[in-house]
Parts: sequence; structure tokens; C-alpha cells
Amino acid sequence: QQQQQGRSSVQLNDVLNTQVLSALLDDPAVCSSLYPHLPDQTEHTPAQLRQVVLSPQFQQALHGFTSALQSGQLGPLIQQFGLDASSGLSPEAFLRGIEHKVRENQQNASSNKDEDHMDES
Amino acid sequence: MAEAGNWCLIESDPGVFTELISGMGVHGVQMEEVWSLDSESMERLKPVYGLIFLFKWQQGHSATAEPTQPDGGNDHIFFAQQVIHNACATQAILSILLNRPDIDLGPELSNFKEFTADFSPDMKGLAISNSDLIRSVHNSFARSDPFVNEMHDPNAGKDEDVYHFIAYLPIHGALYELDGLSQGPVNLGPCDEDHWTDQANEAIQQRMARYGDTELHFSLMALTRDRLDTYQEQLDEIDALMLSLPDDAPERRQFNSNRMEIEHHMQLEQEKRSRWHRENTLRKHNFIPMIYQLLHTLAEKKQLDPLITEAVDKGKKRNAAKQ
Repeated sequence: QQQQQGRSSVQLNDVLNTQVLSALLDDPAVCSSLYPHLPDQTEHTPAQLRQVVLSPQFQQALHGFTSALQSGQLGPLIQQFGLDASSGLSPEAFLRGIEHKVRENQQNASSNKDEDHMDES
Repeated sequence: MAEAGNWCLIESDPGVFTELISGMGVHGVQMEEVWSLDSESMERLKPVYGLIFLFKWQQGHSATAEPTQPDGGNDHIFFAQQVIHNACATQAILSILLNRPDIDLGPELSNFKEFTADFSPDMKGLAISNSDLIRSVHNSFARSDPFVNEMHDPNAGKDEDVYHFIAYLPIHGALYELDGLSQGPVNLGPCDEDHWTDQANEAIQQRMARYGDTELHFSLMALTRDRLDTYQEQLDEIDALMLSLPDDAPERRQFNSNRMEIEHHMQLEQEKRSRWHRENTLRKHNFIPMIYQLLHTLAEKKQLDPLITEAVDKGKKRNAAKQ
């Protein structure tokens, strides 16, 4: 049941904890991919990014998003990311949905390579 | 508690409250967190218009152990009963603003005060909850994350903690306690502008003692004059005094050093304002796309799966600990 899955109480904060975030931000490619998601008028520098991502307000946003996911009603929002609506049923379903989608993409990418170069559009 | 429109839950933070107050059109005031109510700390904050005592209490414990008898002489006080839970911080702030004739309320809040002057306490509470101005400024602190705001506060469940705000301020020579959950304003006895915070301190200590050994989280905020205005006034005073001194007057040295000290405080205050502004921007930011991008990256780096397993374990342990 939805409620039960919510009760499994997976917290996004446990996944995106300070240690994990800090390590990710050491990667310049990761930084570049995050700049577009900074608030307006924030400088696109690793130092500014670090300040935002490691802020208490970011952790609060994670808490808020976790409890919204626990409501089990975020299907429509989640579909905007190209995930299955069932990924909106709980925080754990959301995380597994992302994992599943990325694995699938990676498999497709590698099999495309094997079959010579297909049309890339 | 009745629901009159959607009021988001806002954070108890001086930066949030200060922006909220100026958003309502009020000039020349700010909110400060108070760490200690001793006379020396209060001296540094003067002028203080009012204090807000906020605390978290467990439901089931009566908020007002002593029944308060509404006395007839309270007509001149703006007292509103709390109608909406999430709005109680905003209401505590209004209790101070609307009872201080020396604060520049701005046109909209002045109108509101005039309009509600003859209302009963419960009607005043309703008027606050129905005010578009007050609600929209309050709700400008809502997170912009889609859907997230529509959810109920996860911590406000049946058996969970509840936040409660009470305002203390001098009105016409007496110290008053304004608690939206009481029947009316409580007169705590005569006071003067210079020493009322000491009396408020005592009242707050007694309040805290009433909750005995239940776990009580609390903080204190002071509504003060805009610190930058106060410092500027001090600088202007020194400058005026120095103007009347001859160039070689020995007092100049002391004045100059005072001046530097005030300028230093001013700079610290300005830095604090920028920090508040930055934090408020982050409070309002929609972080969901960034969260998604981070999780996606973790999956690409093949780090997400083990982290999910860990988080599930942690969640189970948390649940087990609760039972």
C-alpha cells in the first residue's frame, strides 16, 4: 500500500548527504550541469554552487520533497522527468525509478554502439 | 483549527520576519534574535518595540493553564484570536506592529488597523486570515517547488509538536501578554519604556516553568528599530558635535574612535542583511530540478544503487527506534 511505502521512510537527505554532495561538487563536469539550476543572479562558480548545495535551505528542500513524495501523489510531476508515474509513489520508488532509467539509457547507448552508428537524432 | 485559505508554514527566522514586515509596507523596523534577556543585551538592541516568545509544545498540554478574564478596559488594544495555525508568527508580529503608534505602518496596514478597530478578537483573527495583503506576503515565503507547498506540514500530525507564539509589549504604560490562543490580552502590570523587558523576562520564565519538564524548544525575537537607521543617527550626532569643535580639539580623537566603532557595526549589519537576503532567496527557490540532476548524476556514476540500500536501512532503523 502507498501508505506503507511512505512509511518505509527513505529520506532523500540520507542519499544526498553532505559527504556525497561534497564529493560530487569536486567534479567540474557535475558543477557545469548544475549551474542552470541555481537561483537567478547567483554566480556560476564552484564556490557559489557549493554554498547553495551545502546550505540548510537545500537540506530543507530535500525534506520537503521527501514528504511530498511520501504522500504518493507526485506522479504527474515525476513524469515531467521522463519517469514512470509509479515512481511518484514514494521516495524509494522515485530513487529506483531514476536508477532504472539511467541503466536503461546506458544499455541502449552501448547496444547502439555495437550495431554500428545509428542515426543520432 | 479552521482553514481560511492556504497559509504556508514559514520558518521562525529574523531574516524571514524582517522581510515579511517590510513586505507589508512597514518602515524602519527589523527583527532580531535575542539570546539573552539580561539588561545589558537588551540595552544594545534598544529601542525594542516588542518581544515574541515562540515555542514548540506537545498537544494535550494546555497552552493557557491560567484562564484569562477579558477585562472591559482593553478596547484600545489590537488583540486577535488565532484562527489559522500556520499564520501564528505573522499574527504575533502584527500584535506588536498594530499596538505601537510610534511605528510607521505604511498605508495598507494602517487601513487594516482602522478597518478592524471595532472588531471582536475572533473577528480580528478572521480579518487577518482574510487579508490578501497579509496572506500574500506571508505566502511569498512558500517554497516554489511545485506541489510541495500543498502538502500539510509533515510535523503537524495529530500527536506531534505544535508551534506557539506569544507577543509581549508595553501598551499605555502596562506590560501586556498577547497570546492568540487566550480569550483576551493579559495585563501583567504597570511598566515603563526603559525597563519593561526585565518584566517580560520574568513573565517568560514563569511561562517556561509552567511547562515543567516537558521538552520545550523555544526562541525569542525582538522587534527593534532598523539598526542601520539607529547607527546612522549616531554617526550624524557625532558629526554635528565635531563640526562645532576647533580642528585641534583633543576630544576629536575620542569622537573619531567612536565613529569607527559605529561604522564597523554598520558594516556587520549590512553583511547580515545580505546574508538574510541570500537565505531568503534559497528558501523560495525551486530545488527539484537540481535534486533530480544530482540523483541522475549519481546513477550515471553507478553510486546511486548502494546509496538507496543504505537509505532504506537507515529508514528501517529510524522506524524501529520509534516503536
